[in-house]
Amino acid sequence: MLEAFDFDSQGNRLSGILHRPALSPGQTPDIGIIFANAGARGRLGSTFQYPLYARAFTALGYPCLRFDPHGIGDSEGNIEISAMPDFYGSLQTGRFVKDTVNAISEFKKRVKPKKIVLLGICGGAITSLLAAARESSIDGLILLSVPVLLDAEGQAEVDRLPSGYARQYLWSAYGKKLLSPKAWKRIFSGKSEFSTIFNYGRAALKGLLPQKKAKSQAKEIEKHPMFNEHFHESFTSLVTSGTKVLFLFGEGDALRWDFQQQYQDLFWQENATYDTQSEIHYLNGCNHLFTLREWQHQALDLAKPWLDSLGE
Amino acid sequence: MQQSLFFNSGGHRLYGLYFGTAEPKDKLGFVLCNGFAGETVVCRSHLSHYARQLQAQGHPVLRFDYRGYGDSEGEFIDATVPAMCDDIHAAAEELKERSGCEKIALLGIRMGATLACIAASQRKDLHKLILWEPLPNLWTYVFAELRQTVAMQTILFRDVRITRNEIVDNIAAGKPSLVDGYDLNCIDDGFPLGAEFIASIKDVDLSPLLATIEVETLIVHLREKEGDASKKLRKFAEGFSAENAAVELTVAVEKTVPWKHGRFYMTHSPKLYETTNSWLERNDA
Repeated sequence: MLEAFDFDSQGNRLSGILHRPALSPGQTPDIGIIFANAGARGRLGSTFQYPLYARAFTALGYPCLRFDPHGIGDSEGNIEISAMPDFYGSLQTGRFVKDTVNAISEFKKRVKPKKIVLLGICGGAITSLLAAARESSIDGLILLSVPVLLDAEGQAEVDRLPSGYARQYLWSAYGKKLLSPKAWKRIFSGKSEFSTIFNYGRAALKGLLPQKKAKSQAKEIEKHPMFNEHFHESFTSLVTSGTKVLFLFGEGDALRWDFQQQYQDLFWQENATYDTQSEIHYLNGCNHLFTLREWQHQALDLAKPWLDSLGE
Repeated sequence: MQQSLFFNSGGHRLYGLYFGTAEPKDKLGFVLCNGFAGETVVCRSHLSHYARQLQAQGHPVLRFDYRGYGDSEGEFIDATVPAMCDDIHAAAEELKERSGCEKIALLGIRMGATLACIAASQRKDLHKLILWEPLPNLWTYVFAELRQTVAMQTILFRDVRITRNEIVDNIAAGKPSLVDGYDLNCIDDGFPLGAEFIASIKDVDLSPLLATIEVETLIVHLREKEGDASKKLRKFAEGFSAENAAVELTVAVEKTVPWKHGRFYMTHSPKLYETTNSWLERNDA
């Protein structure tokens, strides 16, 4: 059963959709799931994947809330016109956290689940993580393609491309074309996308060059200049307080390299709870936004047993 | 004040966002018709923002999702052109019933604008038609957009294993376009296309319909740089009958066009709204 409603958050009316499962009278759901906004897609997600997930979870007995934060979709409020990296940067440092916390309160009032899980993709994943760290009642997180680095104005494109990903991309997109006369014709006629090839080429080479060694032998971690400290703080505080986290990444997503190289490789050994509280999966062939139905169903197949174990 | 609601169309519960007014100005209400597939997700904010401006001018407004789209019931694959036009009519009736308005204005964006033209040719209570960058030929547009699906293959398989024509043939025959377990009968990176939808867009012939439209019509070409309206839209505007309808074709320049992944993040289109408001003022709405 779908319910459409509006609720207040920071002076704006936010628009929400509640999926209610069929429960016996007086029955309290074990787990309720709230979806956090990704980019400009609000409560729909790319290729309408949030409604698809919500329907699937509701069929299993889990009520779900999808909502638009301020300025997005059907919710009131304004978001100033800004350069893309600045907007994404603001999202990664908590632009929609207050709206998400208010949505959690509204959900608790309407549904009263025993446990609450936040789910988000990309910007929705980092919003879920930051909101959960500011709300004591979150028991689990399902994070798809969560970014660990910040986007910001002035950050060179080459810095945003992990070298492993750049090499994979160049090989996928251009490797086979090396033997194609048509492709060489495009190059010599100036029709190729030189800026893309140049940027990816630079990023790929960067990873092959020997890196400067740290002067000190001290065990200080060398973080990426755009590393999102909010990610580390929130994740650490949540897992040490018992929150479970399911990480899902597309195998073909640049951000999974960021996660592995800029986070897991550097921090994972620091704290045993990172491992015990987390489950990580890389979906074969899947892209950053999980756009194909096949990938969405794979994500659901991984989320279902994880939710079952959280509910036990 | 806005109100989220559901209403019925062809056995489906459709989601709507209603912007009410105490007394509808000129008894005129606006139905907002969203675009196609992935565009519908990003254009939602732009339509809802404009709905608030129309409401502030005294007009009740209903923004809604077609069946199979967004928050409405149904499957995307089943949303054909006639079904989506039925949804527009259902939304118009819902708006009249809720607001007490007697006249309807249809405002559509991209494919929603094209559908608004079809619906406009079927209504007697239509007062105004606003078309934000209509798609004059739906089939040409959809076929062109299938390039993305082909491009996706080069990333997934380092090769194009199935061409656009083969994808279209498979869709028409009700067969999946399976490559390594993926069904590539989709558009915009993942919206599944069905045989009935493809047949329905191929069936659309706007020429005879446009000539029958008898209301003031605004067509806006939304661009990122100054310039004239495209040839395509100039030709489209010529399709209206000069005797029947006063048609104005104009250009609005924004930093980023909503359906393109531009350099700027925008959830509203101020220049587009300004252009439309100015036309409404000149045409006494």
